[in-house]
Amino acid sequence: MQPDSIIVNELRAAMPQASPELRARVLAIATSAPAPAAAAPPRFRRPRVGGRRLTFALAGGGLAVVAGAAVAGGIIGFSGGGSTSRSAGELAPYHEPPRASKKPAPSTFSTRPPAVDRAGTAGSAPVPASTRRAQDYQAELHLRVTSLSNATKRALTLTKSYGGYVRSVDYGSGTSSGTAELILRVPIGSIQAAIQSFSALGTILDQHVTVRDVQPQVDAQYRLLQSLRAQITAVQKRLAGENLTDAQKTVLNAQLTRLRARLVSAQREQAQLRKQTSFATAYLELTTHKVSVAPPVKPSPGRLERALDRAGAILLRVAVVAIYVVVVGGPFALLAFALGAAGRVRRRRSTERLLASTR
Amino acid sequence: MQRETFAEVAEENLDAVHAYLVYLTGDRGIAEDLTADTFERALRSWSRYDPRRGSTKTWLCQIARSTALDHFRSERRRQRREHTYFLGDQGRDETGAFGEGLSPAIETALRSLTAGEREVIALRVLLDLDAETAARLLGISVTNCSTRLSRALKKLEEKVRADAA
Repeated sequence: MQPDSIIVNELRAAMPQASPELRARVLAIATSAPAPAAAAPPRFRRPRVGGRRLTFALAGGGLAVVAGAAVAGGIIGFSGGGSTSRSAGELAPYHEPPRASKKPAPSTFSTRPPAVDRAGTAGSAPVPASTRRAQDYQAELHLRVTSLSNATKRALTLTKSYGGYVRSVDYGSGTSSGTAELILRVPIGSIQAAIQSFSALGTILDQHVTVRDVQPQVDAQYRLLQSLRAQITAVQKRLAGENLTDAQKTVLNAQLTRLRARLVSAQREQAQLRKQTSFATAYLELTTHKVSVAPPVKPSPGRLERALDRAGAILLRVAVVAIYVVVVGGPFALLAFALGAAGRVRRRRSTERLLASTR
Repeated sequence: MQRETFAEVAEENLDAVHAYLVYLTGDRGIAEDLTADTFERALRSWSRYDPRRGSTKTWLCQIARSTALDHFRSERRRQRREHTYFLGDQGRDETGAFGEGLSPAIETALRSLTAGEREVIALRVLLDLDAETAARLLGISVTNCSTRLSRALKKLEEKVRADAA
């Protein structure tokens, strides 16, 4: 047996007993006529819930209420901030800007006889080339195409099919967009059909047609040629005469040589002018789609997806508020907890000191 | 299962509460008054008693401890106000204060202990509460409760041996 076991046994054996007077006093208290609620414990007692358990229960209940409200709000169409833009998008889906080709082309023909300039909008019917007068015909087309390579090949093929040729090609393609610039020469009689064919390669972004009447130049050139030929004939007749001195013959021969040289030059210019007026120039600029210009239209989400989106938006908003409350109220809660803990420690130490100093 | 009535609970735990208060105060007269006060308080709060949180003995001991601490604090305030000092053992009935048949050496040794030391002996030895229940009642850890009991018993034994020598 341990040394203190004897003392312990003696303490237990001599445990103080309540005196009969105290027993009677306490029994009198216990059997006194207290309030009915105190006399007997109620049968249906409200379950006692501890502070910690109550905190967990409140937190869980709060989360359940928030989740239920979010789902209910999502189902009945609560207009959350995050879904407004999407709803607006659903109600007003993206529309491509109307193509310029759908607008009627303004007839802005110049009244000046020598040249007719026209800045037409895209998609309008090309200005017909005159078959009776010489014209300098230039057309500029800016097209947006889906496939730059295919459109370029198609343009070259069309040019050849109309009897034209390619003056230059500048082709550049990147990962998201590309541009090709083509200078094409098409017979003046086929330029109208060619422009219509080029327009079908894509969406017309811009179109500009310039028609300049060069018939006066052609006529002047013709008259110059006739004059030179007449002068050459006259000189040749004079050289054929018999009463010419050697000096006169030399002068006439020199004059004949100059006239012939001018005639050759004039014939060359006439050929160049004829070539210029017999072919029209088409400046073709092809570009591909830009991703940012026309975003793809999202498929309309279903009812369940919209409800979930709205519920998510509500939950997100609640989470933001909760974080705000935690950030703002956290320090105060910590301070209150620290003060409470310090108060409990102080009271416990005070009790300890009191019991230690009492004998 | 039918719950006990308060009278039955009082009858059952009267000796335990009384013994606890005797050890805590070291004065049988004061202990009797505090015991009566304890049962009055207990009767008022009987409707709030929850058996799941502890036995009636523990519950009554908690009320008794609160009553005794209130008494100690009021006595201290009174002594300060009257500029009198606690007279210690003077005026107390020293014979059989901690129980009938207790040896004078142990009686004297118990009186030399502090109220806190006697309290833990009363809870663990006399009332035979387990360490966890006693620790929760005292508001300390189980280890601290065991340490406090060990030191109190050791001190009690040393006092008894010193008196015997």
